[in-house]
Amino acid sequence: MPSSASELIPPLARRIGLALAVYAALAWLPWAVSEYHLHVLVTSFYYVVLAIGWNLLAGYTGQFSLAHHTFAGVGAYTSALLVLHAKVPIVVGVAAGGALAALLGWGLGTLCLRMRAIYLALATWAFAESVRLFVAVEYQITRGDLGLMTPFFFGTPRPTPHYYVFLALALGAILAAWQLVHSRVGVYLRAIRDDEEAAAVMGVDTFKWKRVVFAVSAVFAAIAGGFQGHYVGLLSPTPMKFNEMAIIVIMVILGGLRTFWGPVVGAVFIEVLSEALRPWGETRMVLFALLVILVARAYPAGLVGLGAGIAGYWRAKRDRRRASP
Amino acid sequence: MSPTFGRTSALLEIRGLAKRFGGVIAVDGLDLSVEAGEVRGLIGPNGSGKTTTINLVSALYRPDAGQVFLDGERIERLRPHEIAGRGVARTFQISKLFGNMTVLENVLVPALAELDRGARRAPEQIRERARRLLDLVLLDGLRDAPAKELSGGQSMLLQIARGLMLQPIRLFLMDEPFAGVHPTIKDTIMETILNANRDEGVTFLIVSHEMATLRRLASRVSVMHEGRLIAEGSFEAVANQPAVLEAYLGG
Repeated sequence: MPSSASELIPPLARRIGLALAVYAALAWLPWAVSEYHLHVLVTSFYYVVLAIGWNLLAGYTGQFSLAHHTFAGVGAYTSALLVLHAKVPIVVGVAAGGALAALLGWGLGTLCLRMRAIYLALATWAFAESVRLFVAVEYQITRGDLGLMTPFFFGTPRPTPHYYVFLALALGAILAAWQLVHSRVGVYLRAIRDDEEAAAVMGVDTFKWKRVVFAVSAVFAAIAGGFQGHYVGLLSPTPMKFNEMAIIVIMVILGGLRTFWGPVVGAVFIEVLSEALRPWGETRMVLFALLVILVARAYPAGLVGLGAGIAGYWRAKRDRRRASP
Repeated sequence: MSPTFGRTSALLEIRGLAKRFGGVIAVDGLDLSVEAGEVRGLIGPNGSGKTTTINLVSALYRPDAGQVFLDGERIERLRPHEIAGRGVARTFQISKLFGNMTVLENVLVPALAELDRGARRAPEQIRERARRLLDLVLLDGLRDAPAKELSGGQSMLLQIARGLMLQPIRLFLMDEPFAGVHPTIKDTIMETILNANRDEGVTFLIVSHEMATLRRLASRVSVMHEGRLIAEGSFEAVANQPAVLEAYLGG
C-alpha cells in the first residue's frame, strides 16, 4: 500500500500542481513592482522559453544550432501576418507559427543530420541569415525594416496582463522540458550527445530524435516569439540578427549548459543584469562575452553548477561538524 | 533483383563485401560465415580490415559492394539502430561510453531504445537485467558513478554489459575487447562471454590480437589479410598455413 499521499498522485499531475502553485505564488507581483520592472520580468520569461528550447538542442543533444532566434521570428511574423490578413484570433496565429516552426525545424534538423559541431553551427547560421534577409527584403509582405504593426494580445502595450501569459509560458516550457528530459527520450538525447555512433549501434534512432528535438525546440521559440510579437506590437528583422542568438547562447552557458535549470537562471540573470546596466549600452555585450569566457574556462557548469557546488560544500561541512563529537 | 537464395544455417553470412576509403581498399571481396551459437575469432595483421568488417556489419559504414545476411535477411542497407533491433550488439576498441551518464544509465540505453521500437518490457524486468549484468561484470557498486570515471578495463566491461542488454541478443561483435586490459578484468570478460554463449546462446565474433586468450574462447578463427579471408579453421589448422605465416611474417 502506498505509504504517503505523494505515491498516490502520478508524477505529471504532481508537477502540474507544483507549477500551478508557483504560478499562484507569483501572481501578486504586478501589485508589488513597477510596470518597468514587470516589463523586465516579462522579457525574462520570454528568454526563459527560448533558452530552455536551445538547451534541449545544444545542451542535451549536442546540436549547437545558431538559428534558434530565427524560429522566434518565424513565430512572430507568421502570427502577425495571419492575424492582420486572415483575421484569425491571436492564439490561432501563434499556434500556426508554432506549426510552421515545427516543419521548418524538422527540415533544418534533417539538413543537419550528418553535420557535426562547427558545420552544424555554420549551416544553421546560414539558414538564420537567409530567413532574416528574406524578411528584410520582402517588405511588401513583411514591411521589412519599416516594421510590421501587430495587434496587442490584450489590446494594450502595458505589461501587467502579459505578465500572466509569459509566466504561464515559462512554467509551461519548464514543465514540458522536464517531462521530455526525464522520460526515456531524455536518455536517448543524452546518449546522442555523448556518443552518437554508440547510441546508434545500441539501438537509438539517432536521426529521428535529432529531428524531433530540432522541431520541439523550434516550437518553443516560435510560440514565445509569437506572443512576444503581440506584446511588443511592432515586428522588425532586427531581433533576427545574430546578436539575439548570442544573447541566448550567453544565457544558457552562463546559467549552465547541460543543466536543467541553467537556462532558467541564466535567462533571468542576464535579462535583469542587462537592464541594470542599460547605461553601458553595447559595452554590456563585452562584459557578457567576458563572463562567458570565464565560465567556460573556469566553471563549465555555470551559475547552477556553482550553486550546487556551494550547497554541497556547506552540506559536507555541516555533516562533518555533526559527525565530530 | 537482389539474390536472396542460397540461404544457409549461418547466423551471419557475408558475401563479397567490399569497402574502400579513397585509394585504400580496406575490405576486398570478403566472404565469411558464422554459425549460430559459435564463438568465432577474427584475426589478422594490422590493417587487414577486421575493424572495417565489424563497422560494415553494424552499419556504421555502407559497403561499396557485397551482401550481409543475418539469419537469411539482408541487412547491409539497414541503419545502425535497425541492426541493433535485430539483436546485433557490439563493443568498440576505444571506449565509446556515454561519459556524462551514469553506469546504470549506460546499460539502460539499449533497453529503452527497444521500447521506442515497440517492444513491451516491464520496467522492473529491465532494471533487474541491468542490475544482474552489472553484477556479473563487477560494476554494480559503481552504478551511480559517471561512466567517464571508469578505468579502461572497466569501460570495456561496461560496453559488454551494455551490449548484452539488447533483447533478444543474437550476435555480439567485439573489437579488441582484451587490448590493454588488466589480467583479472580479462578473466571477467572471458567469463561473461562464455556465460552469455552457454546460457543465452549468444553468437560471438571477436576481433583480437591476444591469441592465447582467443584460443581459450573460440573454437574456430577466421584470418583476414588485405581485406580478404585467407584461412579459417581451428587455431592449430590455421597456424601453419603458408598464407597465414606469410601474412603475419611478411613472407
